[in-house]
Amino acid sequence: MTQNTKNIIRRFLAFFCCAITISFSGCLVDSTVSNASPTIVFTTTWQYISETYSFFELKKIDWDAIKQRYETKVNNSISSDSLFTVCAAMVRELRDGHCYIGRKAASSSAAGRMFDVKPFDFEQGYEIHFSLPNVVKYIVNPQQKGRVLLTGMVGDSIGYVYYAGFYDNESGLWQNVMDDFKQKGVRKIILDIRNNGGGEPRIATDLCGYFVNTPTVVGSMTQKSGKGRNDFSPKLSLTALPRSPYLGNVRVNIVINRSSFSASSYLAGMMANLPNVQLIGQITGGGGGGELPFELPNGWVVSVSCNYFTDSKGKHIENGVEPTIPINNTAEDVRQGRDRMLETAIAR
Amino acid sequence: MNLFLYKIIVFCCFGTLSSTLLAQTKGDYLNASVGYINHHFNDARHSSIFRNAGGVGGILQYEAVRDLEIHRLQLQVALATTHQEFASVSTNTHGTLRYEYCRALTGLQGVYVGGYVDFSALLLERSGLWTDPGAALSYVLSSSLGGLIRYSAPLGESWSVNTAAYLSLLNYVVRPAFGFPYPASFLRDGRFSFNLNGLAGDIVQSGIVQTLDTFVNTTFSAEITRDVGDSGHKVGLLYVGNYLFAGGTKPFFGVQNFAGISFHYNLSGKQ
Repeated sequence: MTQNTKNIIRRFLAFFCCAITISFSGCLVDSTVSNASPTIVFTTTWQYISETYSFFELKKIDWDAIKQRYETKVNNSISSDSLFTVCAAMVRELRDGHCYIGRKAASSSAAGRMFDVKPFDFEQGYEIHFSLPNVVKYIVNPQQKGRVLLTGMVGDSIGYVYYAGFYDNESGLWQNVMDDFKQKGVRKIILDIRNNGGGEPRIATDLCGYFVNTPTVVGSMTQKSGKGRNDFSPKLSLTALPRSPYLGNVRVNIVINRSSFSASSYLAGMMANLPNVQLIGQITGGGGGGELPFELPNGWVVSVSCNYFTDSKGKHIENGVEPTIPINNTAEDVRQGRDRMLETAIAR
Repeated sequence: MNLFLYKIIVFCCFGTLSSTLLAQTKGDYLNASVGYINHHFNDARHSSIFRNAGGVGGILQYEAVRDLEIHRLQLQVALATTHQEFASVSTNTHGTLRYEYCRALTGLQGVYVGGYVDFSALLLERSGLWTDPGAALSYVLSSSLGGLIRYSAPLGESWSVNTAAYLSLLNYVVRPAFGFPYPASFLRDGRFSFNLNGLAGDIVQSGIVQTLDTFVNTTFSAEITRDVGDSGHKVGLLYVGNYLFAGGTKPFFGVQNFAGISFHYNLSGKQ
């Protein structure tokens, strides 16, 4: 091997080693961004929300005024915890349960939780009284299906189903429930979505399919389409496609409360305008926007609603879906094993 | 530090390129490489900062070297995840299928120029505080026509060096719209779905044609190989660097470095 060849090989090996060094040195860069200045973190949080949030107009929120109010509380000597508290308070000004700021929890501060998250409490100020053991007392032969469905009959002709969460991997269980109701010839279905915190909203559209016999628009989504406050897409229709068995000729009473959030509000909003459907109980928790998280310069995450749902009559559900028949349980009802909301759904 | 590294890289590249030696050995090869991937990237859809993902990558390649031309069919895959110190973790999956053809330049021994066509899918999936599957997924899907220049030369009796640079010129690109997991054409057409299930075909068909002002995909590779006996097989060290920029209201920037070991199996038999 000539000296020239040796030199070339040495140069290549040096280049190769440099490439590997550059690659591995990249591993160190992430840790430095955790030193992002508090003012940059605050400004990025505000800016992202300004460009992304979809309910400023509906809620009449003056986001520029909110910035002025909170930026005076932030300077570059503020502690990380104080900055988190300030940013979280600013996010809660959106009054939206889908909006939060979160960070990886320090083990000492969050009692073993992975994340420290501060969302808006949409249940605050509402009396919410619900007990599933009390519900079971009204049901003949209650059966648990998967983690989220409890079904049974009330008398001979009323099918009851309690739905605890819109989990995609259990959505197939609904087919069994609906087939069972059809087979039993129920004259009324009570769909109880109290304390259902939501999940996959597609399931709401699918469920509507059992109650329509032609493709039916059950609502629409409007999507943020740019950074401007008024940059929105046209309305994007949500269509329920007919599913078998058809149960649209059966009365459906949907029982709701303030803890029926997000996908539960979507379902209530979609079903509310179908024939033979009544909403019974308490206004839902709302949550009519899909969340879009974003990573901040210090590794925290801020998430806000970036679209909104309106029902087939164009009504927003963000602040909650109103019941057709308002009724609420009291704390005393629950103590006595009584469910006044369910009783109303059975009777009406 | 950066200037120093730049000088070393320039020195190594041009030092290698200045060697005027013989062209690449003729034959059909099945090549495989495996190594470490580092992905330094920012997807403005998900983050305000650049993150680093580390993982493994591999390349499988069929190569036909003729008197004056080289054909290559290459599949490159990479899987990398970001570190765990923050509230979100990104899992990046990148696959590229590429066919390239190049022809020797008359008068410049060992230098080939040509073009390529490729299909590339970069999926960036967030977990942690990303709970909505639609919001958690971002992507850069592209199909490109581009140009390449290759330099191949033996170094003495048993060593050889191969370098190549690629630049995409005409691209078909699919990116999510602003705040929306689907391409912008879904918004224009009034289409919405709560999740991505069953929509992969529609998404792939919803791209737009972009050129260098809004989409840049360039790759540099350098490899040194050593013959294994007289069978025509080779082993080597391979570096591949890729820069990817996809513009728009939520642009993507990424630099991907691959460094690994390569194996070349000569399908044509003994030389």
